[in-house]
Amino acid sequence: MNEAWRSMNPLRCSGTDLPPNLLLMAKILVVGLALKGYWGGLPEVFLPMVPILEALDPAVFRRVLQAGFAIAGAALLLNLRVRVSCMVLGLVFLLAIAASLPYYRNATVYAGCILLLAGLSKAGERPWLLSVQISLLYLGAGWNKLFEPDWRNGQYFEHWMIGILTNPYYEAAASLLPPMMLSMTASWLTILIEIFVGLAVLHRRSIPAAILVASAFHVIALLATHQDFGIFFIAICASFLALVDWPAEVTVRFDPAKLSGRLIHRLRMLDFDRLIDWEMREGPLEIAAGDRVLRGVEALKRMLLLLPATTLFLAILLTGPKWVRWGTAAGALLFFVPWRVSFSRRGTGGSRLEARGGRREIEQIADRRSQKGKRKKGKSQEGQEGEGGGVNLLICYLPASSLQPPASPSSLEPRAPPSPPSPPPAHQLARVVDRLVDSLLLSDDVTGGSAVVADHSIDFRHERVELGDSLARLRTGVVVAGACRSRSIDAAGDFAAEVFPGNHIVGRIDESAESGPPVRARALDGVDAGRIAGGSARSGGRRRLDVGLKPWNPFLPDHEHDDGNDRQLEQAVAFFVRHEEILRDQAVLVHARLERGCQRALNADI
Amino acid sequence: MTAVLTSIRRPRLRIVIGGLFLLFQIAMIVRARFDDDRYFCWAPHDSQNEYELILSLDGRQLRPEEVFDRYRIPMTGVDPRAIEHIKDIVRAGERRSAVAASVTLHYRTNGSERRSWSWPQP
Repeated sequence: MNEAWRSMNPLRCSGTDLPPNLLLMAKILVVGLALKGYWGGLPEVFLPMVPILEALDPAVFRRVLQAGFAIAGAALLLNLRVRVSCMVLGLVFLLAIAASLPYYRNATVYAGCILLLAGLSKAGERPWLLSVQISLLYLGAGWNKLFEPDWRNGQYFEHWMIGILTNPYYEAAASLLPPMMLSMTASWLTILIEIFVGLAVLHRRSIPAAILVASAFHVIALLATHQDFGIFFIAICASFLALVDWPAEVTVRFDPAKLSGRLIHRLRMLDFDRLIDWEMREGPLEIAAGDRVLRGVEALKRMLLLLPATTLFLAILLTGPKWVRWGTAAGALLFFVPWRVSFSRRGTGGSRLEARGGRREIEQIADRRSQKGKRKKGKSQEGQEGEGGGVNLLICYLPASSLQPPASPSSLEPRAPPSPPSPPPAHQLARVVDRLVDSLLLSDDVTGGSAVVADHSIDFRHERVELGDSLARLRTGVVVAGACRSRSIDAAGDFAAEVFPGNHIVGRIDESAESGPPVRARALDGVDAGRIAGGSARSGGRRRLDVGLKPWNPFLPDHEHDDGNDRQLEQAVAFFVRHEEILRDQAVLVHARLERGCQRALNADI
Repeated sequence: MTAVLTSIRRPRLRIVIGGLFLLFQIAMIVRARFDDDRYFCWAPHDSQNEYELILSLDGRQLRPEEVFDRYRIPMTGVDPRAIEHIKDIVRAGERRSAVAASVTLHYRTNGSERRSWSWPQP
């Protein structure tokens, strides 16, 4: 299947003129409208609101509307001319309303409005028109109710629930309370919720609360009244998608040895947008988007919500028979509501990289070093923020004299300035740089934090890598500064990240462009590393074949000449930056080598 | 058509169209405070109206299906829109018909006392 056909997959929502969330919203609406019979129910011109429409042939007008819906709906589902399709769909329903007074329904008007406004939105822009539309809907509803005496005194609710819907549970509950108490409470709650949601959707920070409250409100209304008000329930739930920030890049980490991991392994097939970077590793299910990480069930929820197939499937269920609708709405609310919000900074789920000097000590040293780096560029260089919020790691190399373990953890006084460094022997420098770069290369999962190699050893996940002696001799900082700068690394903050031992990891982008599948790799101090870098890699089921470039300058062989010249290293490491995707794949593969549980599955996958 | 679509793609025009569309709704929300109908002002389920339409044409009372053909709404029912919408449909339907019927609308809003409205108005 070539790319053109693949782009027409209805379960794909990216790569069009619309933001993925808006396109998904529109698709949900179209599916809902089609399955709920709105296509067949489009009216002829009959008692039009706009008299000029009376001049049109009623039957032809209806067929034109139906053809417009069918063509634009199909185009939208196939990702063709999505913005024009949205506008056409919106106009179809707004014209239908204008053409027939009896056809007027708030739900239909709303569906037409959000489709039209979605068509007026564009990828890369915040869809504020839709935010205002949603706000107007709720504020208008709350405002109008506020002026209705029957809403204020509960008469509307009392009559609707008992007189019209004859809801026995409501009647029983109302009989336990003073007259009108329940109805008045329900009325005022409705008004307050509508006003709250109408205001909250306009503020970015309160949008999650607005969506949560509104979703609960509508699901409860659906269950209590047994009505979905036509397309309204689906339309309003879909339009919340317009309010959320759709992530550009998501990473899901899962353990294929677990049952949940095997399930997720299957779910990868539904990621037609290739939005998610799937990584196999031991540990709980984790989803990282932006600088946030969710774990366990919360991660599963988020992952499902990000897959258009899931939300479209839910929309289809919501058009089903009454009990299916209720079950879907209630089940979705109970499942997707974030019962336990456990956001954390990205990267905190891994093993910790700590120095012996104690955490606060390390932070203090890192701060000091970082400030010093600002003053003296070229020595301890502080970088800028990584591309796309990627790596955000500082490795500070400090003279051994300043890195003695403190006598007690509370000993936090600043230490004396380090003595002038002595140049390291060339062969040791090479080893150190190798290990350092290896560590950097494979720290892609780290965003936020500073890692300070403040002692003679680093405790990695399962083993201790003795680096201290070498590092302590790396005093000029020139080489390190080059590495840090070109990796676009930031300093500051806490560090807790998954870092793999450098001496087990392939991290050397190669001098030879030898290609070969990275099924097996052994890299110790850069040996054999070229095979991976020059080969193809597979991550999350996706195959990538993207190496072949060489560093601008040879990297490894030149260490002995690096003294006082960071240019070469800087260039070489810049090469790594441009190949972060490859490095990520390497990290996955190497990780699998380290984890026995994952190794089997990953080998099978490869 | 292409020119129209191209011009709509321009950011300023898109925003103007969308903004005007939203402003229209705001105007309708404000207008709803001064009028009895509730078009485009987001007043869903502000009232529940139990109604019955009685139509006489040439001294004969119309059957439910005849009423439906005339207005495309049931002869009796519960409508969650403002009762003014039913009245508008009746008015528009009778203006459109070659032979105007005599219409009586009986309704109760939110379970309140029964009211009546007639067309043509006396």
